[in-house]
Amino acid sequence: MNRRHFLQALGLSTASLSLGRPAWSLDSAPKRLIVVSSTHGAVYDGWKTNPAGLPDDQPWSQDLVSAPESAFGPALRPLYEHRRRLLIPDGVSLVSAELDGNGERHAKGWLHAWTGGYADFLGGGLSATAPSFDQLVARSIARADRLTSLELSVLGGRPICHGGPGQQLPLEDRPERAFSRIFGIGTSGDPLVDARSSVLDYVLAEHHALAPRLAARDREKLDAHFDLVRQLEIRLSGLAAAGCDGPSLAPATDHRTTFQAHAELVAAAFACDLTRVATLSLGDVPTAEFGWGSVGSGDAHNDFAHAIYENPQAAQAMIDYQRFQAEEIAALVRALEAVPEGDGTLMDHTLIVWGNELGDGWHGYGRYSPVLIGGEWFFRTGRVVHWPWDSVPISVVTPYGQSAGAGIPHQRVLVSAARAMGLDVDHVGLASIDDDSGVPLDLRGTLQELT
Amino acid sequence: MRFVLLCSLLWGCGPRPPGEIPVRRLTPTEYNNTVRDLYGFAPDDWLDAEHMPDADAYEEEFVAPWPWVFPADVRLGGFEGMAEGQVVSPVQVEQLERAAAHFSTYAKKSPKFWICDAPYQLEADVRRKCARESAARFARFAWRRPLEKDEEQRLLAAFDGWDAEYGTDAAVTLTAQALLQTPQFLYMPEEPGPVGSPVEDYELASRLSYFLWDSMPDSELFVSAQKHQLRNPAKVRAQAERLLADPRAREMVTHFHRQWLDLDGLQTLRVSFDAHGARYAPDLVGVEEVEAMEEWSGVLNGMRAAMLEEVDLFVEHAVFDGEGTLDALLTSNRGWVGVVNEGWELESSTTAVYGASTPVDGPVKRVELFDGNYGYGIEMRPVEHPADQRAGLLTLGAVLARRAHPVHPAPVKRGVFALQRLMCQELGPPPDGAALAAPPDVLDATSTNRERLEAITSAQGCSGCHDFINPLGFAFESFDTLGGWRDTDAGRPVDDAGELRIPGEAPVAFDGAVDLARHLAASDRVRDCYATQWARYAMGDPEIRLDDPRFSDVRERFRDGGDIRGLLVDLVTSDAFRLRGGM
Repeated sequence: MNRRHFLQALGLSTASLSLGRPAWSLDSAPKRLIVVSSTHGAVYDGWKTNPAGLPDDQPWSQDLVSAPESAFGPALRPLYEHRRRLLIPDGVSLVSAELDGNGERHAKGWLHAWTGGYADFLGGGLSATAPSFDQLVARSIARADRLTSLELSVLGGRPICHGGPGQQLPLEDRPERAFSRIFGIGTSGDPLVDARSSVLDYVLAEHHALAPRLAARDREKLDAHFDLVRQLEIRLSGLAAAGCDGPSLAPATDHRTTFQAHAELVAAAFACDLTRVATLSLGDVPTAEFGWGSVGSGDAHNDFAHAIYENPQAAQAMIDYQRFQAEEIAALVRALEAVPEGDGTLMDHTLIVWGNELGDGWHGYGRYSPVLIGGEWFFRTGRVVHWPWDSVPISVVTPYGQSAGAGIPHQRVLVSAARAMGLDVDHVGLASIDDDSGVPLDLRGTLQELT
Repeated sequence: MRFVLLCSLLWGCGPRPPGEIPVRRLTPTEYNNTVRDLYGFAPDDWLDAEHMPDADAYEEEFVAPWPWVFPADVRLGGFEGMAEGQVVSPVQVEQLERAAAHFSTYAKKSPKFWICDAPYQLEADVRRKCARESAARFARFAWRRPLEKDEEQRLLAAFDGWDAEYGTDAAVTLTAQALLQTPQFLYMPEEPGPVGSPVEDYELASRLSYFLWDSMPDSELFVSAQKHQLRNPAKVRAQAERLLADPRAREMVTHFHRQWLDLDGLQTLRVSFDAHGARYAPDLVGVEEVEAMEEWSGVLNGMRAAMLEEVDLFVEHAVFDGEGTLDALLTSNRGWVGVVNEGWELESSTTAVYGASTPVDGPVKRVELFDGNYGYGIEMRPVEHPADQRAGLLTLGAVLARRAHPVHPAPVKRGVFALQRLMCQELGPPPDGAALAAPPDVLDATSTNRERLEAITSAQGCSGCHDFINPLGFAFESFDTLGGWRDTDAGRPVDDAGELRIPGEAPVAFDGAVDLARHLAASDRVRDCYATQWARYAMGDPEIRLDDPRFSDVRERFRDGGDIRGLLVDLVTSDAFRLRGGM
């Protein structure tokens, strides 16, 4: 008798098992993480937010809560409504990617941005040498009986999630398939999804029957493997038993509607505690969707990204490109704020880390533009924190030429975010990296200016 | 000099009886090859839309339907498939589940699944009966052995349950999905028995095919197991020779050599444009810097891909089409120049690396590659490298460029590589500060690379190891970072002479890399080391030592002539390979 029959025999269907959402008190609500990754970096002049007009070559921090909307960089203006939750580190770089060996700069940038580690060229493509940030956190905060993490993409967003060296995780682009993975276990009507638990039951039974016939050293090795299969099975049954009804999804036809559907899935999955970590990897926004469809071929990368410094129109297009994604993220925050939890909302227990694979459309790694939203239990939000772009002395050749300084290594933003999620780590990915003259650069530690 | 024995990660350095290693799991290569052979699809069949459950999805996600890209095995002693390095992670288990779900959807399309003809023209009941029997046969192939009665009963019970709930087609898919996750499929479990007794017939068949093919046995091997023929070493020899004549053996042998030469890191090396751009990408000199740097990356990617491909072609040629000896591997001056010529906007080739090489007759091989963003084609054209400059594997571009700094070649890395991989001389880690003491890798050096390194490593406390390492590295000073020939360094003639000190053998003077290769090829230590690494690979045991008495006959025969395919046959007919406990 399978689980469904078992439940039916008890007079229950999985749907009627709906236990509702867990009732957390404010303190006991788990912390959640969302990683949002977008493409082609920023146009710095359209991103920078400097209400008081302070000098670029000095470190400073400014309040955003009292700043007028017009003081926000046009690319970030859609986040004005969430300014209390906003923390903008300005003056960060992907310098470790610059110091990594040759490799396609987008692909290498994604690996550095989200693993903090080197890119490795294996089996015909670039692969990770360390787990990605989302997986690092998920490993630490996931429930054993729920999805460890959710990996979603919008219009072919790049696979930025890595379980460890060479362990790239596939992303789910289609909301309806993500829905069946999260909410559909046992009820989707697709045997390949519904029967996953019973398949694993068979596998575990075969292991159980085989093990006593083996030598002790063999048994030990197989036990280690099939204990993990059992844990996987526990996650699947946990999901089936959670009895959480998923959201009804509107059709996803373009970047905006796909993002919105994913955002609703994430909010619903968080609300039912089906997972605590989600990644949204955003593919390029088609030019028509952000108002530039009449210019060029429809591909933001080729039409605009490379030309931001020589063509003001291209720069404006890329500002609008990023602004479009800021609008999507603002909507994600609203979706999380719409779910009450404890004395507040889901968003009060969520940290969103928004980043890129590049500093700018010129394939530079210098002017990186991460944005943190939420995590108020750890970060001092409602601020922009600025460092000069060459605040870290280092010898490095960049697309702009030889440089004697770089921005704050982005690994330190990840370390701070990891601490916010309760991890006891002092580095994410690399702990140090040698610059072009062989001098090691320390990549460890949090950024005190953020907390 | 500090000699450190290879210790395994899991067992530490404590004693364990030789051969007492845990059950082996299929490596990613073996898994994919097994699925390929189990299903009987040719590579292009996987791409055939008829078989694709969800063609759009795979296109979007840049994922080919076959092979499945798994996390790499932890390597011990440089090799995957070492039983003690196979620690499993939660991510791997999830990946195995996803891979099983993916491949299971192809089962009902597989020409090897159905035992009846045209199953979809049969009545539902007849088809169900056929599917049920087909599933049982599929299980025998997946497990590479007959099923015990209780095993078959459980399998059919599961099939019947899925059939009743979801229908026959789904039951076929789910049965395949389940089988692909069982320990019998993923591992090579063997019945315990007295140490020194022969392993079971089917177990030996798998040992043979997974060593020589990186894949499951074929039907002829199954039949010989069923008839107990593999208990006879002469039959084992005949089967091994048959397997070695199959293309799958060529793939296995090139796969071994890529690991032996430790070439995976090649693609992450930085190469200075200022130092090497004029020679290898003259078109980019004077181009605006941003664009030049971007294109330089592309040029290097193409060159490295072509160099790696050359190693595969060289090895395959030396082992299977040429003399088939270690001597040929170490001294043949056959080569391949690669020209990137399709789907690639840049000029990229290894012609500048091999400027003095001359074209020879032979098939031109075309290779399709994907660099993470773009697909492109490389045309590999056979050449003869000049006999006074290059000899064998060690002077191929890939092997040289794998161990180099952005500006200058890296004699220490090249020397350590030769000591470890050719002479099985394990070195301890360099002392603290050694890396910082290395001479800076700068463009405007006034002394030669050799002079700078000699000045630093002659210090007391360094020379103990560097007296062994440096000469081996200096032998390759006539090759720059990317492996191109150079006559001068810092304006002076390159000095690539030295004294070869092979442990246990009399020191001998050599003049340059070609002369060094000749001496290495004549060394018993080098032959023993090569044979021992094959033994480690065959047994999945990185701790097999250079003087392991179980393989003394194998080494003895290999010393005499260095026949590589003969070595592989000798290994599989050895007692250690055929008997329990590796005795």
